[in-house]
Amino acid sequence: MSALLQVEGLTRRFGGLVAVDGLGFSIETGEVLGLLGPNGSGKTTVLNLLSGVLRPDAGSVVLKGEAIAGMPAHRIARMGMARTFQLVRPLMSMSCRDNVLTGLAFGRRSLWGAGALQEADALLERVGLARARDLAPSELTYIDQKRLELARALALQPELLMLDEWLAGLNPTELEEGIALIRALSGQGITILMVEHVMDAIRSLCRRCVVMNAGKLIASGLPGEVLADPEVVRAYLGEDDDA
Amino acid sequence: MNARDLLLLVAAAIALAVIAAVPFLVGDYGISLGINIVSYTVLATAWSLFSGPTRYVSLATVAFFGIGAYTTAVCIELVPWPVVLLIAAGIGMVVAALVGLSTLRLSGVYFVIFSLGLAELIRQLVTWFEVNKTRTLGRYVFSDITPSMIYWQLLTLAVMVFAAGILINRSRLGLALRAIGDDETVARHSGIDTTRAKIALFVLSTVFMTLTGAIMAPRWTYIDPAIAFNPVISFTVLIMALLGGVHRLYGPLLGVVPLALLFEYLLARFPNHFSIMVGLVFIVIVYFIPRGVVGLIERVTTRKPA
Repeated sequence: MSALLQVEGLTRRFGGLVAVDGLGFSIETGEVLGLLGPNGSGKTTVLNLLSGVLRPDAGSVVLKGEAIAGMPAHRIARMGMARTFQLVRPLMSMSCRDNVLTGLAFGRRSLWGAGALQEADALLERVGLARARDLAPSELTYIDQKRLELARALALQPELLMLDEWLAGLNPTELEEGIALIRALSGQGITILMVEHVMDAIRSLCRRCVVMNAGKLIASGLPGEVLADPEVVRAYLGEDDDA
Repeated sequence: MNARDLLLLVAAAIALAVIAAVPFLVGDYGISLGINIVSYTVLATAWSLFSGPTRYVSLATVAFFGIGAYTTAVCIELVPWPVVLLIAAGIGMVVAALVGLSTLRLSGVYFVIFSLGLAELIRQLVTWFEVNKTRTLGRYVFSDITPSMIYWQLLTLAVMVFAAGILINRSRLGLALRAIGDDETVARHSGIDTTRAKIALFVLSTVFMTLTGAIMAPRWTYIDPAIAFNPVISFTVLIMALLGGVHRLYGPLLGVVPLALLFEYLLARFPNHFSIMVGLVFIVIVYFIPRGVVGLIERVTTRKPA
């Protein structure tokens, strides 16, 4: 196995605040990596730096051997990196099918016409939205909007899929379905980076995870070990007053 | 192409034939009114071609209209008429590409202000050049182009702008633009080069505006920068497009016809209070029908609970 994504010294400041501070980690091809950390620790900023929403102030990001730090988002997307957003962002004026078509038409496959329509329907079915094909995203439940966003990301035929709290807010049944879906995607060979607070999902999906606090990497390793690490516990729960 | 498309095409062809026959049926005043309506149809449709999906409110319409008009004024006695139009389109494209590259990364209100400033900047440049270099602030436009010919040329341009709109809506560019209008970040993350898409559309939209100016110039026997770059044209186009509705290709047309007639009436009846009246019309439209006539029609025909 080789590193699909290699991040070194990644840094981003917002005014005086260092949101991401010299972060380094790598993702092996085919793995499911969990990115953990308390709220405000900089996880979403990391995804924004990787996907091209933000430019890093320092550091390097190498995807499949090519430096992508500071590259525009559309080029990164065409190189095989797709993501979902923490707060869902469907394209509201377009039908579910057109949402998915967008990823197909401009992704690395550049699909258009009858083939693209067929593929869009297949992707909607893949995430369990076949019946919603012609609906507007505003007519979907929150969960189904998340599914739609996943289908749009998959339309790019990504090698690396970044999920930003994709499982947050699901009920137990939906959570089970969601975990099964992510596992199936991983089984197809898609490498996955997931920012997640649902620890059950982390334990069952990730072989390895990295933990951030205040912009820095504080632990990495097996989920069971990492979550028992005293520094991680301190980051989540704070100092013990009696100590 | 299905039966419905074919029917629409036949209906459009018949309507076009009737509209094209107008100069044979009406007098000089009718032709003049027709030119007014068709020229604003081209301008407003071209405006919403870009501003509708991207939601960039442009007040630069008259910058390109004026470039076209001035190109005609300068070139009409030097080269054949089709060449004049080609030169105008070429200059319009170059200016649009430069403006697009430098400004379409701006968003929202910054672009509005820039586009307004651009029209003024070009007007001042032309004025400076004419005063200091050619020493003729105004120019006479002499040609044997009759009002009927102007009308038919504008009508051809109108057909072209609608054809362009239909083709774009069916193309990948159309999908890209709708995505950009909804959420530019998501569009980029779907692999869309949003800057390139916006520039391509801006250039296309402004070429139609430039050509409208070039075709219209022989209407005036005399032009100067204040006439050719009159900002009222930009605002009129904006208000017409908004009244009609910018999220459908035929929307602006539904704004142009009633407003062109209304303005014609107001100008004849209240020449001194025209600007005040136009301002009031603007406020009423934005306040009461924000989604335009098309939005009203769709609300009545679909009747969905909001």
